[in-house]
Amino acid sequence: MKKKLVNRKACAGVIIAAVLVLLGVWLYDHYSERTITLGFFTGSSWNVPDAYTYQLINDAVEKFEASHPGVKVEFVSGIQKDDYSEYIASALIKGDAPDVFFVLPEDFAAFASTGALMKLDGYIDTDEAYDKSQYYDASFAFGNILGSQYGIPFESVPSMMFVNRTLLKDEGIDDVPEDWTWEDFYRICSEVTGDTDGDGIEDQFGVCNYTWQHAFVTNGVELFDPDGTSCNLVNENAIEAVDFIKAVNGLTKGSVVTADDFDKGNVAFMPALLSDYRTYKPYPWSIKKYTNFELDCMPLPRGNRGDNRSTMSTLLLSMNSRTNEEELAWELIKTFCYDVEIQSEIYTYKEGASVLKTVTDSMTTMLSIDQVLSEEGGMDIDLITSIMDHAEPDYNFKDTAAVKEIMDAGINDIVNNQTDSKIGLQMIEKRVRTFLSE
Amino acid sequence: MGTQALKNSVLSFMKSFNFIAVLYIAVVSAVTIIKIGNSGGAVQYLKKTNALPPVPEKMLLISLSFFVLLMILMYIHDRYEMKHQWYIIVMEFVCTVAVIAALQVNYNGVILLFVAHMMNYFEGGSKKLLPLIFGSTFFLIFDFNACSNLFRITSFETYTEYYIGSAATILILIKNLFTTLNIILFIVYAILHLREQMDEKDEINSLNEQLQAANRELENYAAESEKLAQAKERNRLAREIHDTLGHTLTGIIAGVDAASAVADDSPEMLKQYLSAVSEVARQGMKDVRRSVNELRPDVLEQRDLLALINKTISQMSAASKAKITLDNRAGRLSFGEDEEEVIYRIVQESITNSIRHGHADLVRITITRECNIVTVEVKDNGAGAKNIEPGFGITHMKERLDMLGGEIHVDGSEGFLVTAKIPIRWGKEND
Repeated sequence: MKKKLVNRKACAGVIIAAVLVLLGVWLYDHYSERTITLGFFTGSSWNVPDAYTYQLINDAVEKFEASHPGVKVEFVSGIQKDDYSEYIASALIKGDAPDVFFVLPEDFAAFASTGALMKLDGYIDTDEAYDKSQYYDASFAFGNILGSQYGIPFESVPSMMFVNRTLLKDEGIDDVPEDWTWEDFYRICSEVTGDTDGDGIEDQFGVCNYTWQHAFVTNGVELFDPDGTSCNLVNENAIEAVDFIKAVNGLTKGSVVTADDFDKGNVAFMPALLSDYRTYKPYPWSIKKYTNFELDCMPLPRGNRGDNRSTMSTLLLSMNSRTNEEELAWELIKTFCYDVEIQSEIYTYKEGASVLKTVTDSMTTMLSIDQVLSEEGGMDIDLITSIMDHAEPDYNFKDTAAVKEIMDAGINDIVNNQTDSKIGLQMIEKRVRTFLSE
Repeated sequence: MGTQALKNSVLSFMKSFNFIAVLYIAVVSAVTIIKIGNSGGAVQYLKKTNALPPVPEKMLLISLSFFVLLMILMYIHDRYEMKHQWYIIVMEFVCTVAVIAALQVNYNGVILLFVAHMMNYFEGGSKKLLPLIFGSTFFLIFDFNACSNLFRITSFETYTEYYIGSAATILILIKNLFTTLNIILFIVYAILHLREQMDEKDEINSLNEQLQAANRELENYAAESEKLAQAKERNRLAREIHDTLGHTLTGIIAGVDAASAVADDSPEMLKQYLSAVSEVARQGMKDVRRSVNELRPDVLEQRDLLALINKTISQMSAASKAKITLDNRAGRLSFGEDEEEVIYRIVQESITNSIRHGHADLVRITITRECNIVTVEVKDNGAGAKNIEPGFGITHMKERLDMLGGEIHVDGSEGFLVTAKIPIRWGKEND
């Protein structure tokens, strides 16, 4: 009996001590200054020069700290874009990743599939001060994997068509409609292709860097299941697209046309990203690259079964699934991705487009002042708005990069060897399926 | 006893063995996770797997502390008597699951340790199988492949892919060695456990046999002593007959012979002899009476019933410290021999029952008479008995009463209450 009594006392003592310790920890945690960590990189995610990242980050952090007294945002600065993926992955594995961090488009699916990123659907649905319809569909959809939102868009970059206006004017072509078709595109390309200096070697071309992905997206090819587990290549849309690439490539008669040729002013069209356009074209933040011709941009031409669509890549902000500061993390994400003031700064300091419709729309009025001041003219915001409205999110499943490589190689084979498009696509489909099932 | 000692040392060994296994898995996993994190191949690793590895420090801390907690619980379980041992078993199980979960189901041997320990506490009958069924079920559930479909977990083998060449093989071999050896240890333990139980059964059987043998001997002995008593009784009877009847008859024969010899000559002498014979016969008669009296089984005839009952009461209360009262409202208790005997026996038997079976400390005896029915009522304040078992001498009393046409009623619900009604034959009383 006595033994038992002592035990009971000891047990009670241990339990009381444990409760006190937990209470102490909780009180300390609750009343000490709270910190939330942020992971970001310097430089652009779209490989264009970028000098103003800190400005935007600092402004957002200041704004967040001002509206959340007693909370401090901590971040490690100076991580380059090239080292960023590894930096975050390493921190995730070791368990010391930041509470909130930017996720590069190419890492997003992999991070989300391991459970490293917090599902944000709960916040999106319950936060009354948050409305997901404010975003461009393609931007927001990029953060969605299998029906769950793992990232909130921060900055989007659609693909578009660069146009050498000077070259077209010289060739007497000046009325290309914005909803142009593959036929228009092919016709112009064949018209401009030729030898201008009379040395017998062709030195002026229609297009460079036009890939299967541009043809697919503009001809309504739905390549993959949403989860990237199955691929569907053998259909009329895809066959038409491949036939079209073959035809376009056939125009150069074996010459290899590169972006270098476009820079020199010898190519009429080149698909590129909005970030390229914004970096090199408009005043006053542009870097002068294309000095010998007038650069313009257009939507991609549409195929018989498609539309003038673009693929859009998006830089996302995600929450660490192991964060202890969920609420704060969500607030910080909102500051970056939902605050109109901070989102507007994307047009001041970054190269992509704001993911908020209102911000991008209002840029029209804001930039028109600059346009007046600019000799070369600013960017055509209406065009960008229209492109973004019609964009599709880029493939963002785990094996995107590897599958794209297989596709690239396969389509190249078809084009170079003039294989029958259907047979070629069947072979690629088989290869992709084998890869995905592994 | 040898089996039990061996079994216990196997269990102790299993505990240390499992600690080393858990430590091995946890340390190797944690070190490898940190190495992968620092290797520059972190992105590649995440693209390859479908689960974020656990935080290394947390995994080490959780798995080892829960293992230590499990050991402490087992120690407490073994050391102290538990009123509700289910609580501690549940806590032990929670710790076991916590260790396995912290290691991401890469080592599930702890469940065998848990079952081995639990087997000690489930003995006999169908309960014996409970730990084994429980253990094998959870051993199957806590399988990496089964769990990897439900949870995001990373296999030990995935971590070891980080190492190049034979290092990975060696690490996996060591892990498999731990798993296999643990299973073997468990099997050895289970066999020893079964053997121990069989030994116990054997021991019980052999004790039972000894008991039966002793019983038989006792029976033989009782039969023998009965025979001996019979022989003794016969001898006594023979002696009595010889001493009394023999002596008397010898005297009578001698007297009669002498009388017949002088019958013709002297009638005086004849008379004298015959009176002597008569004297001898009378003396013989006296002796026979005395003998018969001595041979009578009971002492009942020597006293009256009331005195006898009083004597029994005082003897019983002295022996048991119970307070026994007699309330006799039937006047002088003088009945037929068999009737007195029955009354006495009922009183005696009832007191015995009250004290022996009811553990009463207060017994009240009431004897009343109404016309020719004598009622004996014995009531006590003891525990009574829900079911009146036949061993209480009730049957015996009933048989005796039946012969006299009486009846008996026993109630054990609030102490014992024995009520017996004995019809008395007319004319016999007050003689």
